[in-house]
Amino acid sequence: MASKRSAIRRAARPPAGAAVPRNQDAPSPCACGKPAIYVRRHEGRAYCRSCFCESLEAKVRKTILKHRLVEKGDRIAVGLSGGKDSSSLLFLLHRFFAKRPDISLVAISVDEGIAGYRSQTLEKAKALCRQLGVEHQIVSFRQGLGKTLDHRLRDAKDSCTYCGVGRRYLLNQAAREAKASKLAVGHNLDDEAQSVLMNFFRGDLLRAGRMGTLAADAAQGGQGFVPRIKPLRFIPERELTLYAVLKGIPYSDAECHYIRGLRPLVRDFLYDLENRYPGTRYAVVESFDKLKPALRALPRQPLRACSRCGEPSSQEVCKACELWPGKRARNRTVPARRSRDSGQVKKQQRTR
Amino acid sequence: MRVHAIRQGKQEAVDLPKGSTVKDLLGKLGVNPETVLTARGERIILETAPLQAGDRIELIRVISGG
Ligand SMILES: [Zn+2]
Ligand SMILES: [Zn+2]
Repeated sequence: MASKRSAIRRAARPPAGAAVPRNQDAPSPCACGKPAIYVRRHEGRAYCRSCFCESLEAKVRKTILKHRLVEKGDRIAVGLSGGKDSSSLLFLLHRFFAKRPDISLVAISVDEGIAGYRSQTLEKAKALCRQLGVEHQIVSFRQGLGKTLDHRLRDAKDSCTYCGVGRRYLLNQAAREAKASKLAVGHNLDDEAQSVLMNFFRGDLLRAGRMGTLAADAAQGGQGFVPRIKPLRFIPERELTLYAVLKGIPYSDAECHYIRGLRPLVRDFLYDLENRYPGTRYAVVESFDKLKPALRALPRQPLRACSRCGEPSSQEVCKACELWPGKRARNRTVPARRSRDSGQVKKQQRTR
Repeated sequence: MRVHAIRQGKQEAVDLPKGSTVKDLLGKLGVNPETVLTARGERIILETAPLQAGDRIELIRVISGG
């Protein structure tokens, strides 16, 4: 059987020396007739350059509409790392909403102080904001938390926890101070599928239930939390890279050298599965979404103000105060009044 | 035939049988096709694209930095 098939293939091959026809093994072209540059394997569909971009934009728009991620009058803070995900996110939100007079955007970058990494990505973030004319603010670990990540990790092991906790804390604080009604983050389908599996592997179901996926989850808004939205939640990172490349969006593909622990293992495992069984990541995230109503029904800690810094927390002392003890105790008046003179939020530019 | 793979600015020569495709190149390098995009010159090309001797194929990695 197999030999018969290969015989057919051999027969179909042009004689030696003949020019190889370009489309010999190529999949069918895009539905519009133009040559394909991308195949969405789980759909079994090929896309040309322009149909691919339109399809990605339509998907993101659909996520935003279906889950009402953006509402009339929103001021959206966009967490901008300078990597391909958040850069594409800012580009897309600007494309969708720049003409809406009632909606405004502000980009916020967090400088963790990771030598040789963050400076590269920050340059790209600045370039993109300049190009789009979007207001850009940079907040730093050093000023906001008392130490750079490099410095803090001299006496700590679990780098991603320190980094993640610190970054979420500062992003939320900066978004609130920028008077944002939403905080958009660039989490993609790969990130989400990884997080779901990691929470399962750690037996941390409650945390999975809290996993802020879409704005609906940010019933946590209030208490000083700016509701987080994830418009890219259903877009694979491979497609976001392609989109950024095709649109010429400035981004940095530098990789943080602190990444270790469970996530890279789960990431490689999921990539392997995705390659063999296209659609795996969607299946993981969809399964989780079906489970979520049940997880939400489980009892959980109500939010209160951290006794040290006043930021929202489920414990008496928030995670950021626990991991970053050198952090300035500030914002006791959250969210009613905030002083702006801490110097923590540096205005980069204000072109709009 | 010999082609060149470019990863993070570094170039390496790879020998492949005539008629090989981008997918064969990735297989030889041990790269999961899901983790990269491939480009020849300025053009993004599919995994199924046939290679010619002397091709310079850039591997654009898709993994995020965080
Ligand atoms: Zn098309
Ligand atoms: Zn605190």
